Amino acid sequence: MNIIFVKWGTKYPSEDVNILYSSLKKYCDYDFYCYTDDSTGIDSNINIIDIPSKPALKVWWNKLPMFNKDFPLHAKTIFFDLDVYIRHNPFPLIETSDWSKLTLIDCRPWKDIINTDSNYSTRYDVTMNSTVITWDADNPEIHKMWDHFNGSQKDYFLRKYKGIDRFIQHEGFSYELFSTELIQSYKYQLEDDYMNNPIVTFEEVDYGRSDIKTWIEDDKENLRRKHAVSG
Amino acid sequence: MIKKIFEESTQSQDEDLFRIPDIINSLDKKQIESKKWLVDTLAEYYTGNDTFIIGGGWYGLLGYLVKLKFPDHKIVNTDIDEKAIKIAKQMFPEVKHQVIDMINKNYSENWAYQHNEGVFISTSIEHIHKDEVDSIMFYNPNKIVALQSNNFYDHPTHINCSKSLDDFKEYISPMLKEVYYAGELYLDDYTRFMIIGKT
Repeated sequence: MNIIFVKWGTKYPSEDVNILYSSLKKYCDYDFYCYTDDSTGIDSNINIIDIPSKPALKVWWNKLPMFNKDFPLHAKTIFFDLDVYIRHNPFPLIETSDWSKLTLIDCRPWKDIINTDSNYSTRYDVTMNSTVITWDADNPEIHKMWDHFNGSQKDYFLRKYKGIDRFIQHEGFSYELFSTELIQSYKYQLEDDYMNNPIVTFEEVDYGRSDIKTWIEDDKENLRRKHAVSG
Repeated sequence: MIKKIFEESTQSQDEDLFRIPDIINSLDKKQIESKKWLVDTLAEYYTGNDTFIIGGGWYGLLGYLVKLKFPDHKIVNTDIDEKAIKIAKQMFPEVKHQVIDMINKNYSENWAYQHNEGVFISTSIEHIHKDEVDSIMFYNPNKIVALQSNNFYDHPTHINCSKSLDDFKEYISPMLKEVYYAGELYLDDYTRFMIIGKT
């Protein structure tokens, strides 16, 4: 089993890669990879896959080459965005994936919240999210996504879609969804609604903010206490 | 054209409505201003009768403006995007439009050498990797070339912007036998750079 992160540009420091690696490593003995244009500071236990100079892609579009048949990974693969916080073991929920399919996050619970906010009207039409993805890297059906993107309409897709979620959904590729118990959104699912999901995504949130760091530390402490009581 | 796409969308869910804002963007004030700048400047340096080839010409606006300036010349607008060329044919029938991947190595063997003198224009250099710009110049020998790029980094398709005119000249000049013109055009939020020379 492979676990891969993508780090492009300067938005995420290598420290984020290392923290996520440490928080997942304690629950599994899988091989870790980071697909990056700058491996400086990344833990030496993480295998580096260099982002090539061609085709040159920016930001989140660098997730799509993971579906290239020539990408140097084989078999079952799990991708995590770097802006997540692992609260407890996510693998029992992740490993129930149908590995013959692409599986992504079901973000409809967030959409219910987003739908009350008119500022987000343009987001109504995407019901999945690529914060966590599972697939079989040898599956030719998965490779078709990259081939389709990297063809004659690549620039058009880059103009048309704000990210890979829309590209996957609106270009008609099939996918499955994880249980909604896998992940929760810090921004859209308020603390009262937290359901003890193992992953929290900070998508659209500056998780370097001190109040969020405090929240994470408090949450870790609460989990420790809960674990001690139940243990 | 926009009305046609919209009407077709009422008959078919397959009609891609994003083509509408995309066409509008291709015709906006900055697009017109920067392409008119190219055509007017080029007219000062080129007085021949050869074919104009436009690489990465999108929906054909540049081809149309070249045709207005050089009405007796053959103008060929090319783009890799088959659907863009289909739309360009309807929008600007005065110009010949063709689906061509100008980066593909077969381009030189199959097409570019058929027009081995003349003018090659591309205002899309910021979309093309530097190595591939080099290949395109190689595939277009003995041509007058007019190339535009910009410093508008904050766009997902702009993977080869230049910081300044000097920066643009620094990598384009070695690909050319001569540089006739290098200039810049200040737009509202970015600057467009242009070099006219000979391969």
